[in-house]
Amino acid sequence: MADLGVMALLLGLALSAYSAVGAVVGEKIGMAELVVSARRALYMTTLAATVASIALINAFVQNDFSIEYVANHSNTLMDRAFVWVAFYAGNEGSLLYILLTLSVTSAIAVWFAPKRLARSMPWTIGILAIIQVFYFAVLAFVASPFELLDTVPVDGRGINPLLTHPGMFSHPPLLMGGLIAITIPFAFVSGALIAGNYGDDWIDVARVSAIIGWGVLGTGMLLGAWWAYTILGWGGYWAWDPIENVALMPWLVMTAFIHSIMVQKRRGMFRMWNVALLNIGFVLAQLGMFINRGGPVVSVHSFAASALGVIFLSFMLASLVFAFALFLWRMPQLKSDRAMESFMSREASFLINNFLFLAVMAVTLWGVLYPLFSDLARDVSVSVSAPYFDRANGPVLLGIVVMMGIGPLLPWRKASARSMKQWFIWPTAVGVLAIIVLVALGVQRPVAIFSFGVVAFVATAIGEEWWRGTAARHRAGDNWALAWWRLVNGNRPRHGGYIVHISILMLGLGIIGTNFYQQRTDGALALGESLIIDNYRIEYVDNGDESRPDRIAQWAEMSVFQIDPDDYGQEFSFAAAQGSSGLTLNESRLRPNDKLLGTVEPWHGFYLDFNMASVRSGIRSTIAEDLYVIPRDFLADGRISLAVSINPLAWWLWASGPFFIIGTMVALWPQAAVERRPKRPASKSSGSDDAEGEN
Amino acid sequence: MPIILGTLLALVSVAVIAYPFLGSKRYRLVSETFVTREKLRAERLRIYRKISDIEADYESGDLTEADYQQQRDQLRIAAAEILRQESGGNSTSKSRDEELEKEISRLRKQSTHSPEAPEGGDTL
Amino acid sequence: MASRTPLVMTGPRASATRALPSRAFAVSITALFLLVLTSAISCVREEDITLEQRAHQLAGELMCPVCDGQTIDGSNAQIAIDMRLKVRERLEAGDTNAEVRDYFVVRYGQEILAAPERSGFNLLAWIVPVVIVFGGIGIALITIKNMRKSVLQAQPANAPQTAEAVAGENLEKYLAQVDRDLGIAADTIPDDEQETSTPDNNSDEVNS
Repeated sequence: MADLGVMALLLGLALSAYSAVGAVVGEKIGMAELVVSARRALYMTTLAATVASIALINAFVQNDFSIEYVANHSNTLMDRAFVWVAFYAGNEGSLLYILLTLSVTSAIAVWFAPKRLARSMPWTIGILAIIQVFYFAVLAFVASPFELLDTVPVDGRGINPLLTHPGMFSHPPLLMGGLIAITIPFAFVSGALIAGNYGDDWIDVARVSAIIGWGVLGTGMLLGAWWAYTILGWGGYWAWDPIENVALMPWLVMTAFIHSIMVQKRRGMFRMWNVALLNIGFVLAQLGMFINRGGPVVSVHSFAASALGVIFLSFMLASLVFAFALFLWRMPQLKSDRAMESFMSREASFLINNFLFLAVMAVTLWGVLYPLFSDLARDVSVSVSAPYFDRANGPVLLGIVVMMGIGPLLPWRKASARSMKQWFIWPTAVGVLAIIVLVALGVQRPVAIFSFGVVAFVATAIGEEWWRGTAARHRAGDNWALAWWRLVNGNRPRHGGYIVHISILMLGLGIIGTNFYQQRTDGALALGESLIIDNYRIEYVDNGDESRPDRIAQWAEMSVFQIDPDDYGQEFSFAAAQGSSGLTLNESRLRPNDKLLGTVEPWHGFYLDFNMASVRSGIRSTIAEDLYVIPRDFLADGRISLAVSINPLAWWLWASGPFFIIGTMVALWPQAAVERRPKRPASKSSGSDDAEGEN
Repeated sequence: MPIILGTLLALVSVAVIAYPFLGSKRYRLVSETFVTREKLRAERLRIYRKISDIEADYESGDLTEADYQQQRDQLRIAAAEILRQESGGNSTSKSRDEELEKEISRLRKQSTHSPEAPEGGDTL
Repeated sequence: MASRTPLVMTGPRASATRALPSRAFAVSITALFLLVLTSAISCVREEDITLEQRAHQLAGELMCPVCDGQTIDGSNAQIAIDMRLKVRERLEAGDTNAEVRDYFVVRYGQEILAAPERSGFNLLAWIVPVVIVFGGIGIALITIKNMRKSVLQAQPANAPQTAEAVAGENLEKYLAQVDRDLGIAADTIPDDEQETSTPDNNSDEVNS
């Protein structure tokens, strides 16, 4: 099978190189056959990448350990389900997966490209094909997943234990796919600019492809956070790790883009700015590829580090130069149709939100690069991790949420004093009220209280928008549900956006709750003993062994009880004197009125070949708070060492996911053309002109 | 077996990309007129979409009556201008802006409604 | 609130809306951000109550030396476990948080801290973000201001009418087609809006 894979890669390299040259030369010399042929070559690269991927997957499924990559990333002991996805567990396979995604999305985008872009399509195809040339060449010559071993081992090394989780089926492919998908809008806009097409012809194709990539990337990041929370036992869901940051940065820039593209769509402004954002987003995605493939920063995600760094650094620099040069070359042509009229307009608020997104991006980039900078500048190694990013980015992120409430309330062009008062009074009142109520309830931590107030403000602003639009339609005779539905349908990009905003608010609740109000304690329990934290008692009931030849694995069964802390007042004060937040008890000390809530089953495995522990946390989740039990270790004396925490509002983090996806889908759902008449015969008879127009 | 499959794949690829040169079908580059017509049509549909967005904004109370009328008029006139170009009207793009300005002010005079002068930089 | 929102604004008040002085708006937006920023920066987490909570907090500020990019708080590596015990030990011995941090810096170098210290060269790490954020907001506000200025400058350019012959009537039939496309009756060209406008307000909007 390795031979087939290698052949497919070489064929793909030849096809994509031909496609890049053919498309551009064909257009230049006016040779239609060459242009058509080059486009077909681009479609055929998809076939080549698919065949190579199938060859590799097949090698995994067949346990073909004569291939080095297969031997390094699977064995006969692993769950068979993971064999199908193990091909992207390492560097070479990830690259092949990225190439597959790129070629499939390129082919789809080129196939469905509107005819009015015909003049710039050769350039777009050229850019897409050149990027494919890069990946095919790297895979064929530098990082081939089809390298053969001299001696075939009996069994493989196995997959990295941290990757054996259902998240493996969704998080890596979505994340890598989302990053590479940014290539599509970039290629379309760059192609249009090279061809001298400065109008808005690319706007829809760029917007749709950008939102798809952005939504996929966002979903991928959220799934990664969920995965980290449930399995990795890092105790959190987002660590501001370099690999997380390089996915976040392009996502932030694309978020800015999908906002400001609406200004271009509606008002014909920000053309230059939108092109710049796409260029930045693309270059940052390449930076992500570089850091993922063995960049100079350490990361907990370095499953795939290698010496590929230099090659990807060069490619990133090349794309930076290309994007920047193209932008400077065509910048004078990218004029706005209109000028800004007021600070109090939606376009102004979009611009401010754009700069805030870019500010978070730039601060994050600075944090990622600072250790390098410090190393180079004065030979002192430093670390930049979560505490830095929380402090540096937190306030700006909160500022973005504030803008999320202000922006939608401002009308296009300019707001009047009257409408300002009218629209802002309720959200502000509710926000302030929320703060007052929280303070009155004795809730601690001013920053968190202020943040909750902001969330209430934004939620009310969205609610008001919907209420206002729905009520207007209701007065026009629709019933409430239909009125709301018509409102959303009337402008899907906008109302889909509001649904996404709601998901961001839910995410915000989770982030505030877990960052500011988390309670934690550590302890070690023998069977029958209990650990008490706040109003929970966790009793160690049972355990069992689940070892396999490659791992030592045990699970524990723990009963979770709701208790009245007053019942244990004496013990609590004793623990406090010792400096502990929680306390450990044996059976004789228990009070009778504890109420059983359920059980959790944390799991702990140690993988011998990898010298690595992998845990599965026991989580009891409610809408208000999660009880979160990490099994640190099963100790030699039979006790289990635990890290237990109460994570307030963590449920909201994951509940935001469906809203994010639904909102994105609503915003993307194609709107029928407004034109209410049969297609004009003029367009129909155009077939003869459209001679090249086969796809 | 893999070698045969690989060779087959290569042959199919070569056949597919060579076909445009060898087949009986003749190809021409997409003509400039066709592209222009498609662009105009797309631009007109985008303006229609803007008008429908403005109507939706107006219905939900986001726009004042005056703004609504003014913006919609501008867009309708822009769409009409594109329709004229689509049907081979002899308007050159150079004079288009001035023409639109005139058209707008003509409509303004016609209707007594002229709360706001067309603002600078706000040409279509 | 929606009941107070008229579907159609007619009469004198419709166009009598007046733009707020935009400078006031800019100032208030900036003030809001300043408030948010300072409140977040100045509010260091309040002193935690128990020793264990302090230990957790410190564990989150110390990197695990052998595990790429993880703090000892999240790591299960043996050295992380030992370091957590050490933190606890130092705290029980009466060390302040800063003393515990210094203890580890002396042994492992600055790299052990999850965030650079706010002193000396490392101050740079903390100042740059502030510059970025305020610079960014500043550029955004200046951009908006300049874009508005171009409104004022472009204004006179529209005034002189070119002698170019404009056949306005030619557009009529296309306008009718547009209205048919949109499904609007052809007679909705606004000519029935009896709006009494106050011109002063309009000039206000442009000049403010």
